[in-house]
Amino acid sequence: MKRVVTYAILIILSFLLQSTISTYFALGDITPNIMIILTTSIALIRGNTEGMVVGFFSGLMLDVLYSNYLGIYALIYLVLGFIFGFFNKIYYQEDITLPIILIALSDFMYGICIYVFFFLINGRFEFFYYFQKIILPETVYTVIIAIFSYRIVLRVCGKLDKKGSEDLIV
Amino acid sequence: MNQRKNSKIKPKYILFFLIIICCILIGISMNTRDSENYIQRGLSSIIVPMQKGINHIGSWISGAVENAKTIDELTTTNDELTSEIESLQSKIYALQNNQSELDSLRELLQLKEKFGDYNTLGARVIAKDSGNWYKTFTIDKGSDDGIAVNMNIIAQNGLVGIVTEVGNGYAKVRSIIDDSSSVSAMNLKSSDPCIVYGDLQLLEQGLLGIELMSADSDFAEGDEIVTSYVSDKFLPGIPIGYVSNIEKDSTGLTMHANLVPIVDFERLTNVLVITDLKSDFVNDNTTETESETETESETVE
Repeated sequence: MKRVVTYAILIILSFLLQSTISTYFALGDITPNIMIILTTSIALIRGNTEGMVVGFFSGLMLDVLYSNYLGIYALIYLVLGFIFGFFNKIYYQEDITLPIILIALSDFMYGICIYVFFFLINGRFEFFYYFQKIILPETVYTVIIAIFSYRIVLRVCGKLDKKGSEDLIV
Repeated sequence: MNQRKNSKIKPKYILFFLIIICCILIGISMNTRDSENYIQRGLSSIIVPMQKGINHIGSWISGAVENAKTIDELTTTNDELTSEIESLQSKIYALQNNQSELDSLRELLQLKEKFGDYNTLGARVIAKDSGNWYKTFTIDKGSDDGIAVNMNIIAQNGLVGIVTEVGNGYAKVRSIIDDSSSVSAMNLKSSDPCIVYGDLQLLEQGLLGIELMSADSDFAEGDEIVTSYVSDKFLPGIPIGYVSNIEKDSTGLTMHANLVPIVDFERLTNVLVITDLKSDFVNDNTTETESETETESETVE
């Protein structure tokens, strides 16, 4: 139960940060994608089941509040959480390089997905433009934020383990 | 070591299950797009107060950063502004002359004054869309304050966007720079119709796009573009921006141009909501609009 509540708080917190404070610190009108950091970090630290569930609810939150169609963001985050959960097998806690690289990869894939689902379909074919102006800067900015926020997620997960909370999630 | 195999169900099946849920949700929301969305409203009314709170912290921090601007910068802008005030004052006198002339002409024509008498309500921007792909934002007034869907949003005397969704204490606004936005507009001088659309690529240069002007229509650089009478959502006569960079399309039948918006979308903190709806005006004397366009274009000269 503690784990579920903690994840819920983490999701809401990162959503709030992303929609409010991060817009004040936008560099060149680009904001970091904090929810991707959360989903990917959890997937890495805890494996694909939990990554998937956290991703699903993060995405659902974005869907409910910002999207025209319920479920699209949920689908993207869900699949990303699942994919990056596989890297849990080669991941160990002391290493920071792998998580950062994977978060970058994750945000990059997210950008591609958004482009394909929302923009390519509307006939915006200049992929390179969107790549250069949004996907790449967002990835870079997200990585910078990830260096700090990944440690926070790791610490929270560590605390949960130490307290011996053996609850099932889902 | 990190892996905990405590769930007996394989992740694969959970994945399939959740994907199916997503697909069902997408299907449902595509079919019931225009109907009332209760889940969305419910969750929004929980989240929006939190966003308001956090936003205060954010604006406080960025305010502190702004204060750190050098005094030099402020004195130069002060000088610029005082000189601007002088030139503006002379303009005001000229305009006052025109205004009195216009008033008497209006009286003669017995026309209702249509511009500038919209009812407005101030609101504060509390959250922006969480992402880099869309340009929508949330304001802190909602249905409790009389806000309804399709109300127009203005700021700095220019069009900002339109309300797309309303809850008790908040409203979502799609700004005209959003990639999915298009506004039916016209040239203030010639009354030639056109469509102003948002484009992520043009936005990079702070511009919007204008299209669907027939090749023989009368557009010149610097012409003011206002919302048109034919739009069913936007009220007529709200300034949007100025024409720049006119080009002929390859077909030669249409033209497209860029539009420099009046509103500074980068720093949008306070906006005005026009609480009159276009649909209320539709039954209003539509026959008069033509003649009124004429008078309006004369005042610009």
